[in-house]
Amino acid sequence: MSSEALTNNIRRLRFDAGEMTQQELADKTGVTRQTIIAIEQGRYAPSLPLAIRIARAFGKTVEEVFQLAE
Amino acid sequence: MNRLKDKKLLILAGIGIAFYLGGIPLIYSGGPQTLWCRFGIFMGMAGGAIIGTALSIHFFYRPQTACKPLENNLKRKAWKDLAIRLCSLIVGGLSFYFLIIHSDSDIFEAVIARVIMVAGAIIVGVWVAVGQFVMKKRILNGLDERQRVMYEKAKMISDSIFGGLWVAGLMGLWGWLGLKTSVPIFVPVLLLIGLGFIAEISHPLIILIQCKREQK
Repeated sequence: MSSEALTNNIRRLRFDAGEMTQQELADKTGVTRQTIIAIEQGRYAPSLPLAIRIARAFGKTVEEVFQLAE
Repeated sequence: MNRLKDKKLLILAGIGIAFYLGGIPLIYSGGPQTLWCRFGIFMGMAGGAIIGTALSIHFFYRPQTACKPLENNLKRKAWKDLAIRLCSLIVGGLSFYFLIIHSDSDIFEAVIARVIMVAGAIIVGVWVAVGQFVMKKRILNGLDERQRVMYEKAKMISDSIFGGLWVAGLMGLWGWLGLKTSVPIFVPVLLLIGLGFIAEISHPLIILIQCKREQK
């Protein structure tokens, strides 16, 4: 089994979206700021519904936000 | 079932505390086998049951409202769980202590201890069933998905602690039983209750440790 890590561009996308704060993203996606921090740092892999909500918050597709790094 | 009004619950809890505290002087009013002493023990047990009922109604039958997940919800819940479980441990432990030190009579031990054992088994069964199938949504309300994962993981660890200690405890008890001709009936009950409380207390503690690690 290959070890695949989930990486993301959330930090960059937040800054692209007018320096959106972690709290603002958390409010848009219905989770806590701690969860956004954990996802951003790659410590927590979000569920599919949450990944979709995050992608929608930036107006992107899930694959534009999250990538599998082998 | 509608939730009882808080005032009624307070009255119920007050009656329970009065029963519980009122039983203590009765226990020490005479010898261990007097009528008053036994009445005091029953008052203590009834008081504990009433307090438990009031707490159960308060926490289990609150209206379920979807609330926004907050950062401190998990931590707050862990502290609340820890406080409730420690209080239950003190009340339950004192009840059991009084029961054991006054259970000299054979009839008393045979009847009361068995009743308590059966009641305890039913309570544990109901607790597990309710917790698994009914209360899950209510308990996890106000937590986001990562906090739910943390809660479940802590539950899994505490269940494993209980399972491991239960096996070790039973093995120890088995060894002890092999050496003794008679073992007091309360020993396996005490083991089960004690381990149950260790598991229940370890659950919020694990959550609090996880929260502290995250803050670093």
